[in-house]
Formats: sequence, structure tokens, C-alpha cells
Amino acid sequence: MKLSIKPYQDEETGGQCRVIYIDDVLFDWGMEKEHLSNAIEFTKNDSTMKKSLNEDIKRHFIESFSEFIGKEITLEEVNESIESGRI
Amino acid sequence: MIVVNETDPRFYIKDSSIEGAGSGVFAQKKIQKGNYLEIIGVMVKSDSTAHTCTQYANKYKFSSNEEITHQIIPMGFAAIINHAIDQKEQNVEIEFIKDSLYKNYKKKNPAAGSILYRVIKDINKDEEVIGYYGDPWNKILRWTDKYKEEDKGSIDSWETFISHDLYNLGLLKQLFD
Repeated sequence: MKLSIKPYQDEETGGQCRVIYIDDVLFDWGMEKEHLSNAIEFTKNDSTMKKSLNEDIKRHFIESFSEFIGKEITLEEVNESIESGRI
Repeated sequence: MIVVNETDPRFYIKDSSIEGAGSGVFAQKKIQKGNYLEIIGVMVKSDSTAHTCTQYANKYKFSSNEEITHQIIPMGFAAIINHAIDQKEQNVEIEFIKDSLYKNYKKKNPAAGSILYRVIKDINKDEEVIGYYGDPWNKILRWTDKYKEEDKGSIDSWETFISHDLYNLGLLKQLFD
């Protein structure tokens, strides 16, 4: 499968970000920038919550992305695929 | 100054059965499933100066509700209840008391709040009281040495991933500074 990174504009919010496409199909995932900023602000002085926030987002991404491509994948493999353009 | 003391006679402290965990909480007598242990301490607002000034205690703080608006700094047995690596060892779990039930909840200790440890399976006399908070906690708590190497690789991969700034996740970079 082909993996490509492209800019994307959300029609509802107008927000822009870089996203993953698999064989030109959008992997529609993420949280609103404002919510993410709030979560970061809330946790940045607390090392335990900071780690929990990272872990929660990471786990959610991997589970969602694995489901999207139809096979279990690790973050290391995702990083390699971003470099190679193949998954 | 507020004086806080742990007075629950059903528990005592001794070296934990978990290697490297320091002290642990043990049952003085058999405690049946359904009982609970009050979490006593003081509460600070999550976005307050008091929260910032008590960072030394962050590792032990509990959220006082599911919305995380306040945090409890535990000062009784709950502060040293250890965390299981294997969920099968867990015999207590955190429970939030809903506001509607809170009115009928009779505190044994005046320093108790709206959160407690519920006993989820019988704890025998001299058995350690053990909680479990899910895998992220396994990687955070200091005595889970076996996770350290795995965690290092995991953090490196995550940092690499967020450096691509997909889905605005580049914002998370500031948490690694």
C-alpha cells in the first residue's frame, strides 16, 4: 500500500494539518487543535500526567491506524513507512 | 494548620511483597469484597498555585473526580498502596463517588473525600493491598524496572513520530523539552 503525507483542511473548522493517506484514502483521525493545546497546557507541569497524555494519544493512534489498514502495526513501522512511502 | 491522620485499624504497613516497591499496605484481618478504604488527605485545584507548589507529591496525587478539576494529595494508606504489574494481582480499585451518592456516604475519617479504594476481591489477613491503573502506569512507576528499556525505545519512536507533525501532534514536542 502507498502511504503519503498531504496537507488537509477541515471543512467544518477550517483548521489545517498534515495527515496520512493510504492509497489516496484519507486516514481521518486526530483531535481538535484547541483540545490538544488545552490538554498540553493542563499536563505540562505534571510529569505523570504528561506521560499519561502521550501514552493515551499514542495508543489511540496505533489502534485506530491498525484498524484502518487492516493489520496490527507498531509505531516503529509507521515511522519507517513515512520515510519509505510504502506500508 | 490542618492535622490529618490515618486511623483505619484494618490495615498496617510493612515492606511490600513487590520487589523494589518499598513499603506496602497489608490487611490486619480478612477484608471481604465490597468493603472500601477511604482515601484521606488534602485537595488542591488542578490549575492552582497550590498544585504547582506541591509538585513533589505529583507521583502520589489522585484526581478527585473524573473531570480532573481537583487533585487529592493522599496522606493515609492510599498513598502507599502499590501497583500491580499483572492485573490479576489487583484486589482494590479506585472508585469515584458520584455527587448524588456523596450525600449519603458517611465518612469515617473527616479528611476523606469523594474517592475511595473499593475492595474487588477478598483480601486475606496479612495479604498486601494492590491496585492497578493500566499499562501506562506500569511504564511510569519507578519500581517497574523491566519496562525501562522497552519504554526508552517507545519514547524515541513517539518523539520521531510527532516530529512529522501529523494531525497537529507536533504540539506535543513541548512536553519533551
